Amino acid sequence: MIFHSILLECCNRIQMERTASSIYHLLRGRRSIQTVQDAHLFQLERYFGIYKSLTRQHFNQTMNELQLKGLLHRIDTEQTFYQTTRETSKWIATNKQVSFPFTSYEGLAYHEITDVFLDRLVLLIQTLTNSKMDYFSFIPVIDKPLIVGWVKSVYRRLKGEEAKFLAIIFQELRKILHHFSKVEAGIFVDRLTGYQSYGMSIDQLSAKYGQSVDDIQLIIINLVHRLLSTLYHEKDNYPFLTFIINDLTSTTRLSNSAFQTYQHLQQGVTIENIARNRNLKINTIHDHLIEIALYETNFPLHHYVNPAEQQEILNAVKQTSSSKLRDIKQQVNDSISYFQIRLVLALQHKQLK
Amino acid sequence: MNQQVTLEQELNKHFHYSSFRLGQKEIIEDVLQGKDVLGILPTGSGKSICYQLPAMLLDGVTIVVSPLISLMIDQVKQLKAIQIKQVVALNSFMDPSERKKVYKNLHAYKLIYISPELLQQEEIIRLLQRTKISLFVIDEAHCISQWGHEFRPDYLKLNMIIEKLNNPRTLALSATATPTVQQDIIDLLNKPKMIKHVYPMDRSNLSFCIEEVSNDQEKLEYLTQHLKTYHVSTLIYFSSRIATENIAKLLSEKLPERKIAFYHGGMEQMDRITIQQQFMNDQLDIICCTSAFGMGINKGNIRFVIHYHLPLQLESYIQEVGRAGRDGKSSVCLLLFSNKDLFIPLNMIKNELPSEQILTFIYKYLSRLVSERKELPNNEVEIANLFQLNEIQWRFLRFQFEKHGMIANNRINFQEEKWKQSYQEIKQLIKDRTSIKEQKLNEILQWIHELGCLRKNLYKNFQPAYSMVDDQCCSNCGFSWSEWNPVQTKKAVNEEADWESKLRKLLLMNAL
Repeated sequence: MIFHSILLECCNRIQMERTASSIYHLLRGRRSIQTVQDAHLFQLERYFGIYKSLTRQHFNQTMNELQLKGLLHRIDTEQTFYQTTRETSKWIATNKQVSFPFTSYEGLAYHEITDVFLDRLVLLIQTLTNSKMDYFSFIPVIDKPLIVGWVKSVYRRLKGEEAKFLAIIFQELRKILHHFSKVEAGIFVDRLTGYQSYGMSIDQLSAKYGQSVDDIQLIIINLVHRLLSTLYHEKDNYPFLTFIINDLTSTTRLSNSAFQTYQHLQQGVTIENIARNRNLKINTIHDHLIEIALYETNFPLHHYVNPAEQQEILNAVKQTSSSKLRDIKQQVNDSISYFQIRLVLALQHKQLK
Repeated sequence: MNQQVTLEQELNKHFHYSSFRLGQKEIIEDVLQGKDVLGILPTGSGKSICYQLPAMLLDGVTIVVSPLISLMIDQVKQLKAIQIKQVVALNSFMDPSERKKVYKNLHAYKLIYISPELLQQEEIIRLLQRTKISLFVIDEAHCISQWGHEFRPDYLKLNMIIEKLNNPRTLALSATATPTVQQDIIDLLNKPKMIKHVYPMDRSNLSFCIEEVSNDQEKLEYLTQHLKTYHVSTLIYFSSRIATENIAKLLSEKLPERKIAFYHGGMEQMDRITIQQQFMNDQLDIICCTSAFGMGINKGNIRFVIHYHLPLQLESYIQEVGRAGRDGKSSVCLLLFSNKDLFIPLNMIKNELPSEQILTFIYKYLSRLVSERKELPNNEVEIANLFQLNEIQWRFLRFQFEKHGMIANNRINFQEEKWKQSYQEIKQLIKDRTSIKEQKLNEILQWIHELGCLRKNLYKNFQPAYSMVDDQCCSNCGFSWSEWNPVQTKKAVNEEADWESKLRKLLLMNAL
């Protein structure tokens, strides 16, 4: 029911403003400026990238199911615009598990480090427990090169003191898991792999805890987000768990390409010249600027949109009470571009926060 | 004598085995002497040692062509697990930056696994030409023959590649190849002097049992009944992913005391490793799986291999049942058959190759690209999606288009006459391939309805005779369940501990 609740909540916020694809991209955490901007616009930042393995097929299928149940109303057959129905709020009231902390998701903040944290922890535990038992022919459950590389480098430093560090991990995990319900802590521990004991697959967890495969994954992500949030606030209580993500917190949130554009801008290169030098379209550079605007605290908006234009755009937003770019564009002077509207929208919602 | 001692010592030093298994040493000795060898060794007999040990002993790099990426990756993991680190699996799914790093250092590896598609790329060929190749291995060599059970057109180009690499000694390996396929391998590789080492694939500790039922409901009842009696390590093979999930669920409900899971190629990587290793570790009793499971897995005590659906040919059936009883103890291979099942393999055969309709569509599409002066998209998956083909179908067609000179490096060469001719040829080829597959299916149907000894007829196309049977032979020679009494798995003490004790046990181990 967690997955269904989240989908319905997203539809409730978005209604006719976007097609269902925007929800799909939001949950998968697509790194496009449109998706990030939508997350801010509809105040769905916390669900950004919380279900990265979601497939298009499964998403469509689930939306259809919700429609068949009368919880969603599809507007036209060509495009996937959905409206919530009268039944939706009733359903949410009866089915949404009150005890489940939907508001604790922090997708936009943690989506990049969630998997890394979990993968590193899982593989490190598998490595240390096996190494402690002098058993080196185990098959690692994680085979992503970046994770394996990190665990190797850490293992080199901890080798010989496995017992000591396993005891520290035990103490810290025990302490932090006490913040969670018995079921949540159970799921987390059942997923771990040790010496001659392999953790449970998502399907096995689903069968054991009587939750759908979707919900099990969403429960784990929710749990990790809360765990990461605890780590940020109580670093000193969890030195080892904090160490696992220490090197990640400082990484810039800009995409690589946007970062390059940012560096050029700081050297005073114009948008046109950046596009020419980097052999990119002007539109792409505009996307980078919006990405930069979303993250940069002192973004010089007036360089790109003068105060009068800003006001005109804001008025149009109020008038149309819509966030569809086309509707807004029709309300403003022809000389104002889509790029300018998007930039103002991006910053407007940032300031609202 | 001296060399004999050395070889066994080397085997022990690198792989921690004290002695060779049947056939390994003979093949390795010939390889080390620089001869070209064709080795036919049954599944589970340690085929890979035949090239892994020479790779360690020879100066230079050993190249292994393998058709299945998951198999390559498994092999590399297992080698790394026993501290053999100079190995790598090169395939098109690899991260490009990762691949570049490997390319810079090819000579530093002892063993390079590579997919046949990747070997078509000029870049890698150029790099390999500058590297000392001591041995060229073709795993699953039956893929080169259209009479083999998994014909791979990419394999046909291997003879040219071997030539380009200055003819290193070549070792072709397969678990199942009839004499016709063996001759095909030698001819198509253009190595008439290849030395053949062929070992029988019959297994004296396996009993064969075919049970005809009228529908799926009866299959489930039959399974439940026998799995209740026999608490042993069990594999159940299915021909579809969804069936593995459904039956695993139904069986779990009927047999709550058994630990049952499913496994197929559509699962997340971490879950696949997890399920596989739980089974290896005896944390699971029964796995419902597709043919994706089992390759490269060596578990001694699998007692029971069941086929819920009809396999597509005898070759894959022999490979799959070959996973039972590797420890030499009496094991049973059960095939459940219902007349209603027939449409499944027929559909699968149809789907393996593009239909005539699709072929026509693709020709039109290609002509349009030509008239718009466009190239093919770079991304293989994108192309497959565009034409609504699965990956296997597109690979087949791409090879044909290249062979007929219609495409080269994504550029399309249009010549009306030639295209008309190639269209007819490809259409005919699809017909031929389909009829070969139907023939293979007929073979297995004939075997199922066989009145004589199942064992004799299963192996008759592969070897002239079979060895004495240890226990019961087959359901046609007389098979009784009551006489099969394998050692049962000990009932696990199912203490459901709370999370804290579990965590303690997992991390502190001794402190419980």
